[in-house]
Amino acid sequence: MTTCEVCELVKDKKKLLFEDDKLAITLAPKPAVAGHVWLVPKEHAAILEQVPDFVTGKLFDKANKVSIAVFEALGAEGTNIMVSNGVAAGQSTNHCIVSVLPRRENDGLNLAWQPKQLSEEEMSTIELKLKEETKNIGAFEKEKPKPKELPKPEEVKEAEEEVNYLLKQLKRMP
Amino acid sequence: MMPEEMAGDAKQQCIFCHIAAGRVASRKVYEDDKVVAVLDINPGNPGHVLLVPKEHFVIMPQIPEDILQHMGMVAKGISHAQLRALKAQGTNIFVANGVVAGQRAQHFMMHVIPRMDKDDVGLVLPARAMRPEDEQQAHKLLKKALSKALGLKVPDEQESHKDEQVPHEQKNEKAVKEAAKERKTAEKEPLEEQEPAKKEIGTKAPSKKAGANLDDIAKLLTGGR
Repeated sequence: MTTCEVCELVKDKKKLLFEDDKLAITLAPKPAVAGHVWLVPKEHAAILEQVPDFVTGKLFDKANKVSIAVFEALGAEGTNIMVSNGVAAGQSTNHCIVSVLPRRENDGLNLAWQPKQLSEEEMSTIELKLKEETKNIGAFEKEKPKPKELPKPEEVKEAEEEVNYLLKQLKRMP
Repeated sequence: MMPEEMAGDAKQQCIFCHIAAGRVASRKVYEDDKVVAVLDINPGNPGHVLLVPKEHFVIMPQIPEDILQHMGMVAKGISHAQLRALKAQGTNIFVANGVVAGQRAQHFMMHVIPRMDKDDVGLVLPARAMRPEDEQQAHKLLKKALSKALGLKVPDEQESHKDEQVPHEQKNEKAVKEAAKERKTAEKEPLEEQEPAKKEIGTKAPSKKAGANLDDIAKLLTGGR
């Protein structure tokens, strides 16, 4: 596997603003605006679809905390939170990222889109197609409870027994 | 006017509160007890979805953690649905907090936008170089403010290596203390606690957390109401 620049950044720790067991928060190495912050899942995931649901939830919750911090620390007048999922959406790294962008008036960033006009028929078709797929939303993946530490000693015992058994076998040999 | 009345007034005029309650026609593509997702009538791309909390919040800092986490997970689900149902080649999840960030409605929402190769939606983030000293300054300021926002101990000015080793214990101690506190208050006044806590979610809690400037940002949207 090729190395991932985001994983490296997380491992390096120098630029991190925060980390827990699931996610890391860091300044973007090449910011779109001053104070551009990245939130990334620690476990490598190329796109959002590969990030477990509960981690996704945490990423957005923490993005809100970053947003609050940005208002306070950098005197931002607004914030954007943005996920670019896939190359077609402007994703430029091989690791899923949630961006928090501090915004000020005339900061040179234009993230507005031109609205498109769709016929009622087109809208209805899209509505039906999407509804069919959103039926699957709901059974969110939760964090698995950490395994208790019981199995370990058992495993060791088993291994020892196996060794003993092998030794016995050896001794038995003529 | 009392703050509660003002909040009520804003809700009555909020189109997304009407949509969430089903009083205004919309093309709902997903709904549960906390959120509703509708097709944007002015889509950036066909299939553009607006995901809104059913409760009225103007900006993100006002939203309780559980609803925000839920919204994040539903947004992921909608993104997935767009990839499958519309054969989209990518998706953007986009939030605008405040007028300068492009927020227009006075009800918090997440945009989930299906993307196709070489469409004209834009939403491209430029990559700029930052001067190392500016970066260091931003890092210092943000780390402090973020620790505060997360309810952690604010790191000391001197960033020694000790800091990196200690946090686990501190966190644990803090968590234990907080848990003990919660238990105490829960034991003492279980009934009195519940009522004000509910009210705070909408009005008082965010200003306490985030200072006055967030209120100003919310006010810009609601026209000072």
